[in-house]
Amino acid sequence: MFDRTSLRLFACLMLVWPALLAQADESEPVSRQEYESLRAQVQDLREALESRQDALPRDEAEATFDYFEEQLFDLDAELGAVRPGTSKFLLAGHTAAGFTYRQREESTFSANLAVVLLWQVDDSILVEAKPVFTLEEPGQTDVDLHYANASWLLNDHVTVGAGQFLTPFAFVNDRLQPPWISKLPGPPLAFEPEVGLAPESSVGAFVRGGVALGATRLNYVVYVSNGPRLVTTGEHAGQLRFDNWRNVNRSPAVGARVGWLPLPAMEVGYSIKTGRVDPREFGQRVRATLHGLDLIYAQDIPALAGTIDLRTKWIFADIGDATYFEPDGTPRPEFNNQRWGGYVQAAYRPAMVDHGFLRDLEFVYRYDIIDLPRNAPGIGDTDRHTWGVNYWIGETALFKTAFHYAEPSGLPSQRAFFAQFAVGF
Amino acid sequence: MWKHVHVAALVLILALPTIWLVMGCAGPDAADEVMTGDAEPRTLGFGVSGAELWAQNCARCHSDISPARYSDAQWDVVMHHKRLRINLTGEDHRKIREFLQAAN
Repeated sequence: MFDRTSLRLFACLMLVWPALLAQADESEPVSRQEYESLRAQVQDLREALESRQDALPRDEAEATFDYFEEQLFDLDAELGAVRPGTSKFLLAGHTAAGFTYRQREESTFSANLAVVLLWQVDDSILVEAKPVFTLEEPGQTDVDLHYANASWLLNDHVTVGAGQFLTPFAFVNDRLQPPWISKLPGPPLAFEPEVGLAPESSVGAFVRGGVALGATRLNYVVYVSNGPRLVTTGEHAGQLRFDNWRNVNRSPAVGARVGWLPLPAMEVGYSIKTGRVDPREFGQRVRATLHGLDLIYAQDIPALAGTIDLRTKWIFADIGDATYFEPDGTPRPEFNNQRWGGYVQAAYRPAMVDHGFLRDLEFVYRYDIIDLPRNAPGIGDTDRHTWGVNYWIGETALFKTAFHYAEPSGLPSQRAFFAQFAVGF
Repeated sequence: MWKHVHVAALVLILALPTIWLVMGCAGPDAADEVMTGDAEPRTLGFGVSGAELWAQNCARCHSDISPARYSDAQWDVVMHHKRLRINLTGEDHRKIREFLQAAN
């Protein structure tokens, strides 16, 4: 309330008054001169104090307090305007732009953008969706919904969900598909949609989770979904198509994957998906069962001054016997419709060397193979070697180059060069 | 066809002990730590801290992402998404999330 000068004056008063009172109590009388002198001093002090109080601006401490109170009030109002509430939304995704040169074909540039929409309704419910925009014909953009589902964390080990989800089959599609995660510009042969071996997305419901198993981890996914569709005519007869958002018969497909992590750096898994695949109008009952084996291993190896990354996946499709027809109704020669394919990929990044440029390089090799039934229409057996060199320019951004050499059965060998710039965000 | 299946299965089965041997080259025993460039030491067994679990689980599929990339609220959402993608246990999920939110 008082500043330092006022306090000094007040203290002087407090010192003088006891002296006056003490003098008053004394029996000895003071002289008129002494009395007038002391009275004058008191009067001077009083006037000085009053004049000082009158001259004071608004109390500084109080003013400071008022200032901060006002600032806090304004800040609280501003925070209230942007406070997000209990639900949380995040926009993420990835993009890639590439160039492809294939022997005996026209070279081309390409680009795509995938937007991942994540909406956490509360601590246990998540809604996720991922539309992918790809340039197709001149002036046209293809929009493909990769997933759109809602899930609920039931407890530490069980999550249930429904909608369109990435099929947890050999975990290429649901984990390694983003271009900044996949180490080569194109997908493995067995995972190309036209080969018809690996399901990409499914529409249905799933239960998934993980448990600690001693010093290891075990994870699982069980799902029921629309089944694959068997192509019954044309050059792709006998192949499966997984892009059916409506079930083609009365029997949904069921599937599961179990993964085991004996070490943090390694996961090995087995997948299965089975169901009827015959379209209702086909008139023949056909069941297909897909089996998948996968292994991923990524580890820093000081002896190699870097990181090695090994991935391998194998898919085996056992599709029931059926008679397929030419477009004119003529029966095709029958074949044993069992198909398989897979790949082995190894990558090395000298992440522990001192040289900055070398540390950001990554060398990749992949061997692909697909084995299709003899006499089956469409593409034949193919094996392919791909060599790649990547340069990392950020945590989730890299420039990829690759060259591949393929030997399709009954066709000339193929060579192709790829360059791709991929960014995850 | 089944001949190829058997060959592929054999390759996979043989790959496991091979990788175990490589692991042996990476460290004499499971208690040893592996250095990850300028990152924190990475243990060979499953970690008990959020930092260890973060490094171990993320590195299987992709390069390490700095905790500073996202805010606390964003890490909530990202980790919820990642828990579904790689089927983390609830406990591991919480530890990683808390580490990222403390380290960002």
